[in-house]
Amino acid sequence: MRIETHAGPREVAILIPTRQRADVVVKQLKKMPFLNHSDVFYGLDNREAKSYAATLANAGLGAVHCTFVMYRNEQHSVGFCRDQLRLAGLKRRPKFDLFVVTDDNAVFKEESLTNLVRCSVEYPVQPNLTSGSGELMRYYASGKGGALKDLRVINDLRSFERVTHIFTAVPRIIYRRFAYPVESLAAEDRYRTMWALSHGIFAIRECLDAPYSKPRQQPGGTGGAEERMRATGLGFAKLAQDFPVFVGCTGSTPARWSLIMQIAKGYTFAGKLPGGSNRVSEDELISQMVKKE
Amino acid sequence: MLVETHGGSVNVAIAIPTRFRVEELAQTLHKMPFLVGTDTFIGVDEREYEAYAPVRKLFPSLVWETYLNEPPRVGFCRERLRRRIAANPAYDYVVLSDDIKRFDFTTFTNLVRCAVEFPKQPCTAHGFHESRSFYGSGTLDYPDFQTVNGIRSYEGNSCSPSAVNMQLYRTFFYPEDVDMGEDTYMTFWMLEHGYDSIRVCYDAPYSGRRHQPGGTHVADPNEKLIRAGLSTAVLAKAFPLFYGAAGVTGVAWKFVFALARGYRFRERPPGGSPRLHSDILAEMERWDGPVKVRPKPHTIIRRANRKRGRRAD
Repeated sequence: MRIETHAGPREVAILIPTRQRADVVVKQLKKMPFLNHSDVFYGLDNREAKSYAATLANAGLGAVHCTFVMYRNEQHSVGFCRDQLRLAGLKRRPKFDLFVVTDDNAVFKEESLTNLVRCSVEYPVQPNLTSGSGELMRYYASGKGGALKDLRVINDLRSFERVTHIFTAVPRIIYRRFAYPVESLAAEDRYRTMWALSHGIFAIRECLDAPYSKPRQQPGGTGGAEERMRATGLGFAKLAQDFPVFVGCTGSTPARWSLIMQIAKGYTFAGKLPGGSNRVSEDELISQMVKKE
Repeated sequence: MLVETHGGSVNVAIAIPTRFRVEELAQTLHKMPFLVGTDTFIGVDEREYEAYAPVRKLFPSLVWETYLNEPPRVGFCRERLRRRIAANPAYDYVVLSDDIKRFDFTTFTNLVRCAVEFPKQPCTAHGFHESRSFYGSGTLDYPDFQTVNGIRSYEGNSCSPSAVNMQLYRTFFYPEDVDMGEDTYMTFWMLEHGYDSIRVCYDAPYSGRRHQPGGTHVADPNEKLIRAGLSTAVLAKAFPLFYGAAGVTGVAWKFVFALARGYRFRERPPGGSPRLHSDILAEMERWDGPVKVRPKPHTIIRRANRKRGRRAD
């Protein structure tokens, strides 16, 4: 889809991997009808194609114009899905200038998408990785959370230096050279950021004028709590293997021993895993854990 | 070495790997004469064996285990010592220590007693680093704090000295390719196999300065980062559930940005010692030396511009 910026029009593709969330995709298309476009790529396992087709056909959306990229994802690797979408996006002609990488349950307005693309294109340092702004950061931006690092306003769009991952604009120049690690079951977004940093791309921005929302750890996607934990651990291993300096800078041990002890005793997380918006104290996290059956 | 406990005496072996620390090892043994005996196993690279001749002359009763440790990996040393000690059926417990860890005989016996007398068996007991008293401040606000036969302990993990039941020590293997975190690997292994009785013995204080020359120490603190990162990869791959529990938010992005921008740690990287990240960040300095791991900045952009000159992207 073509988006007008101060630097001229840009062809933009939106890349969204999905798994076991046909109903969520329907909701997403209903809430954001501008996503019903051939430049929006949904990636899904070919074993789920029928169920998605049936759900979309019965949803009353009318004609669905999105591009569906099919693959066989045996290991449920998010890195694999993202890479398949990346390759499909790069192959399409006429060429896209920018890829917006997001999730199947992320919700944003068309204005938010335009602002994200504009912020990425108009920021003076190129190339850059610009992400949308979650609710937590908008709270900080309201002045309650202290100063934001390197806050700059370019053509009325506010952005600051921060690493976020859910709704990100990736320029073609980066996507052509970068490849997601197929064995990264999770944390592939951190891999992308570390790759960019290791290649001298330091302009990692969060655009305050590109808000999005996203419920965390819905059914589907990466899977249940335990599957997520395992996937995250293996993703972390891949990060440590390929970027040892970045991961090793805080030593070799994860600090959350009390959580680890609980898991070893047969407890697991009932709902959300720690991290992201679930940044609560360890005691609170432990009180949320339930004994595995 | 026989150690008296409430349930009778137990036979204990001591495992100490050493590397480029002849004087330090001699001093340690001078200060802890109770370690000098035929139950103390010293692991050393065979190429350094001759350099340790003064120590052997001073303390002839020690048992030496030599190996070719190339490239130097602490996991390899620990594994070779483990195999040597595990082959001897006479031992009930092993105390894992370092060549620079200092503690007195009371600490030694309390550590073994804690492991032997704690109700939930098999139990692994770790020493209590003096710097930890900073956290305790007398409040003893630790998880599952218990006093058994006058020995206080709480649930947690620490590094050596550790008293480990031989039953566990014989079935466990150290990963030979890690240069750090082999003690963490052992704890993870125990937890994964259901041996979750892991205690830090409050009555077994020890001292040991971190980042001393020799051992796993490297002059360049950033070399240490690479080792820590690669060891993390081994641990996270082996125990993904435990690493995933903490989430990937454990990545310290402030340091990552600083390192990517060419800064480096002046003295020692964070981790272990209770220092504020902001203080460490302020201490980081610009690195003008050779870049080892980080690719040259902006290579990608220059290469792209060159290509663009020849053919349209």
